[in-house]
Amino acid sequence: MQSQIAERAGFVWSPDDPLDLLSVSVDGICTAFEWEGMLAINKAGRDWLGFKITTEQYLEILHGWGIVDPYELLNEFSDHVEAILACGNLT
Amino acid sequence: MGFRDLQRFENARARLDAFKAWQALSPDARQAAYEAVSPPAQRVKTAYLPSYVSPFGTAANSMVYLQTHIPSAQQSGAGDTVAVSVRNVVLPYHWGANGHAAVPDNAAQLNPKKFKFAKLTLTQKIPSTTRVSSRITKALYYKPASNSVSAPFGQATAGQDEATVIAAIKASTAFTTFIDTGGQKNTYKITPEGI
Repeated sequence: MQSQIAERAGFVWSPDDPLDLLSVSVDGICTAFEWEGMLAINKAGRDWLGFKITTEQYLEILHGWGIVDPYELLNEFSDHVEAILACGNLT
Repeated sequence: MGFRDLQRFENARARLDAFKAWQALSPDARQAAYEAVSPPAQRVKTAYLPSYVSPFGTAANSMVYLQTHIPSAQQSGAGDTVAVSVRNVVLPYHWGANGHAAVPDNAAQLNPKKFKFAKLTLTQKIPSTTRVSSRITKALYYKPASNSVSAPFGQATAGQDEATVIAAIKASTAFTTFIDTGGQKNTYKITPEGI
């Protein structure tokens, strides 16, 4: 199993808060839509990790806020979780 | 597949060969290749101090304080200015010896294990003027230095909700100063609190 997150970070990153692996950021010249989208996507990630919304709803929210391929984000996340489990680093 | 695809392969062939060579590397060799483009000495090591944060929406008579940390005012090495910027933004939301005010007497001070704080992350992007070659495809590119520091935050006064605090952070001078420097290339993110 190859984790793209681990390849980018250069190590098997196991954050205290799993949301760190799903959250998105914006830059200084972002529009109001992008700012709202950043907050909404991160909130949806928190809800999804807490089983408050289904995977389908989560993907729909991501798509609605302009993420063209929501599966990409989710696949990277699940690949990385598998990599962490394989290393036995999950506490 | 048309001739155009065949031509495209010929153009990308050098990159593909470099990619295959990288895939064949041992883990140690990959790590060395990574450290050549991203030296460990340039990674951010933020110094934190213990402090207390109050979760959103707890009322005055039941305002709880949860133990966490805040970036220290004294930083060194890569990302030291970012850590101080983060500290200045979140300071009004931290209590205790290292916060903006002491925790009130007899207030509930807890050390949570499962609670996830709302968190602000500021990332400084410093554009590069020289190109480095990619460790995977050997393509030359401008690699910006990226220094990222995060800190938790909560309510400043009793009964505040998350949206109010986020709006206050967005309007604060410490925050706007940070995002307006460096050609507005600096990035930031806010993640909500939860369990």
